[in-house]
Amino acid sequence: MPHSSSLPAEEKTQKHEPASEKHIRDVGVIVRSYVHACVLAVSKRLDHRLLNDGDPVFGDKISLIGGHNRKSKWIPNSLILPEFNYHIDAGSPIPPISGIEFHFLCGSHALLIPHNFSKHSIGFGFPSIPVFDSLSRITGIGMKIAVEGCMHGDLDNVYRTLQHYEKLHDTTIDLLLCCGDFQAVRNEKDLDSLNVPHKFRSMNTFWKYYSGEAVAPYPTIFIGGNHEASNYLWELYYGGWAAPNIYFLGFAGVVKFGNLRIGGLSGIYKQPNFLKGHFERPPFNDSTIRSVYHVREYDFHKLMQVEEPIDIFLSHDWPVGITDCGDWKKLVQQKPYFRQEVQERKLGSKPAAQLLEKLKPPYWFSAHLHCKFAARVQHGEDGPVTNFLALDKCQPGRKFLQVIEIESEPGPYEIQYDEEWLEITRRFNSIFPLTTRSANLWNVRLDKQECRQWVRSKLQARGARPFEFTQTVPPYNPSQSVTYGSFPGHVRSPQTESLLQFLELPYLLDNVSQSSEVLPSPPRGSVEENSEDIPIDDVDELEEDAVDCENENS
Amino acid sequence: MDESEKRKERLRAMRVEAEETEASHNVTTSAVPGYLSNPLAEDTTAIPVLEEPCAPFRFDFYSDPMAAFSSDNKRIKVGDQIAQDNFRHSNTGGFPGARLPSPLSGGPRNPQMTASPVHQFQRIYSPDQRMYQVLGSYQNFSPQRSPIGMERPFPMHHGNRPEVWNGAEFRPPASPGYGPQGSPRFRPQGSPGFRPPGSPRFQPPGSPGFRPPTSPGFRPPGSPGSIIGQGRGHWFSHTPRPQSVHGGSPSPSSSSGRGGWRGSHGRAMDRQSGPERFYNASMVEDPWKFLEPVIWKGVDTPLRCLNTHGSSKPSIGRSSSTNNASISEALNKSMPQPSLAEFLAASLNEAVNDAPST
Repeated sequence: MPHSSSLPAEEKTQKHEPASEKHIRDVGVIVRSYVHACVLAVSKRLDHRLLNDGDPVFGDKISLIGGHNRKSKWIPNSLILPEFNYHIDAGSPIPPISGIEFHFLCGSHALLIPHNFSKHSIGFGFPSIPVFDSLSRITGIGMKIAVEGCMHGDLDNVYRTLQHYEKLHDTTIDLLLCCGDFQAVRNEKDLDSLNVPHKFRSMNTFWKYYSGEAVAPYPTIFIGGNHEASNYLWELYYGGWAAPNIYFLGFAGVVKFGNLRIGGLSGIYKQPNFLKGHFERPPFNDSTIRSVYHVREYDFHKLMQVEEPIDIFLSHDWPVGITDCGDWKKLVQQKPYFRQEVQERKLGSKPAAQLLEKLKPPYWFSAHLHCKFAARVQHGEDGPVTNFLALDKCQPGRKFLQVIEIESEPGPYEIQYDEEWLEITRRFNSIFPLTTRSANLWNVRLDKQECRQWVRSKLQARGARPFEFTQTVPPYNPSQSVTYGSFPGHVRSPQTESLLQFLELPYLLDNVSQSSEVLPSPPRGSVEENSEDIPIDDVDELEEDAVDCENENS
Repeated sequence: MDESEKRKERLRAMRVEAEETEASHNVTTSAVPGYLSNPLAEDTTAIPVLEEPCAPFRFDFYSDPMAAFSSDNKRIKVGDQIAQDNFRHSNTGGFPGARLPSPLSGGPRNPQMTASPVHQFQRIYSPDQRMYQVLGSYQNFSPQRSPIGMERPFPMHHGNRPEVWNGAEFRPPASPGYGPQGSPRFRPQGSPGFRPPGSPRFQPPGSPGFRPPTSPGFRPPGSPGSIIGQGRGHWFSHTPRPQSVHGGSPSPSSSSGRGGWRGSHGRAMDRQSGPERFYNASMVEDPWKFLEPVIWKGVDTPLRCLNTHGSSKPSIGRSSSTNNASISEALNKSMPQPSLAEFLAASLNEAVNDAPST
């Protein structure tokens, strides 16, 4: 057994042990202290991408062989490096390659220990390969999901923060969920559909991901809030790729990610517009630029049809009453202006609350109020529990991110259409309300079971992967000013068209013939209406709500 | 007698210097005598300047009449010069900073404004962490310097206090929560064993299988908490090129720029850069750890009697008036109207914590 002659002093007292075991123990000790240094060291020696990019490269570089243990858990016992034409058995010394003597699967890392290993080489002498996270996927240990509050177009910083987290904790994120105010602004023209005070009308960073200049490092799923490029989200009403690897759930929607079902409701609740149809079309005026993101009964009702369990649900505003189930005292201490709403039980969205009650998802995430607030909801005596978490917006020092780890089936994971949701989409598209009139929800004629079977067979034939991303307008070019006057107000997204063709449904989103109906004047100054004008801490929100209130009361 | 002689000599030198300055209008000729000519600069902090005389900066200094009246400003200048001198040490390819306008000459005398160019200069042109070390010693020079932004590495820093981030970044997570790699998975006890209907794979915190990031046994893989700090220090003490490790680049594709790799001994300026400012330790803590589930009371008023079309039970019309009453009562009991002092304190906290919003 080849082994180093120079061992740490404490190890020399145990020379009677077999060298290999001692070596394993040494490595076990060392890896905990110096694993980061090892990673950095090996990144210079081996393929840099392997260490930094993780999974996408991992498959080509390393594979694992294993078997099931008594508990049917898959356990790896061998590691193969195709590039080195090398096969490693866990915990066993194997013949050297390129001067590397020992190889171990140790903790989260495969360590490649040089023959001349010594105390002095600790810290920068051991190449190592972090395999844990990929290993965890293969072994089904868990999935790490990051949740973000309000994005406000600051994708760069959110992704960087997550990458920082990954490096700090030597782990990988599988998925990012964003709870609205995503601001998927593709170019300057989209700013016309974004309801923010003028001083905040800036491109921010989404356009980079739309243009291809940057690529989202994690699959990202988002819902809409009340600060959105609403013209773009309307193109993707049924959900779709807003940019490569960035998926919009739609005005309401459910998708699968691995075995998880993730649902969401975009927008915020405003009672006066709840029963209306989707009458708004770009270009928006001062009124429709706000109402376009108000939750509609039609979308809410579709979500209420979901019968199969939802694992995670997203809403921008909080379910009303959720404060009862968390530390509301602390909340009103931090945000004194929520006191009255909490007291009167008016803080939040009623449709979201009813969905929470109906769907009972294990996790529910929200944003909107720019603070972090956790709650646990028990659905009846001995009923299931929903863990609710609201998060802040992306700014330094704010609590805008949360990482949760959940058990999951083995990866790789990808976003896929949800069969039940496509069935609901297909059944309810015939009553899609495109005017101010509410949907006739009783007028759904398709049979649920037949429709489900139909969708199932279609998905089996085509596969459940969403239709591919396509640009529909030119992306922002910082070095070039573009005149967008010639672009039409609404662009048919090929993704949406493909989905509707797949479901054999007509395209309705540019139906303007009925959308110009005279709007009934909204009820003025009602308690219900004003109850949603929450005085949020931020200047912009205060301003916006003031304008909102003013406009809707006038 | 000696003192008188020296004084005369000094006066003579000053006179000569003044004549030369007037004649040539070129201050650069007064490099060394300049030290003598400005008694206000005769303090210990100015001496290092003499060691590395730098004519252009002397010109800037004397060309600013306000500088002589403020010892703080004088120190700022010295600090700038030290930094620039260090830059010269680390960059043999010229001294681009020499062409920069003096922070004190011209422009508003807003301290922030004067400090910013220095930082930008340092960030852009310093390839060597010696700059940070020098700056660190400069920081120690006078705590009063913080208002001018010297402790803020970057102009975009939105005012969160450095200690917040330092703590978040380097405070070792509670060691019990960070078990060694490969440790048995944590299975918390006492959970009612909740499994959502039809979703056995999904387990909320408090139930078997869920491993919140701060639970015992939860392992950010390969992240043994406080041990990392040792590793970092060790690494730094041996690495021949530390700057390659912590270049501070925020680029996602770069291996540099991660706070976790920075030395554990006080590079506050470096630590605040990039994603470290956004990272908050709370993101890995279990937010539901201290919460007990509360039975859901339902929605006050119905939206419309249509939403339960199907098999779901009606969710409307559930009165929660009792619940409302209890909340209000509790609020009134536990949350009396805050005193002025409390309100001010809360407002201050808000102001400190809240950055300009988007």
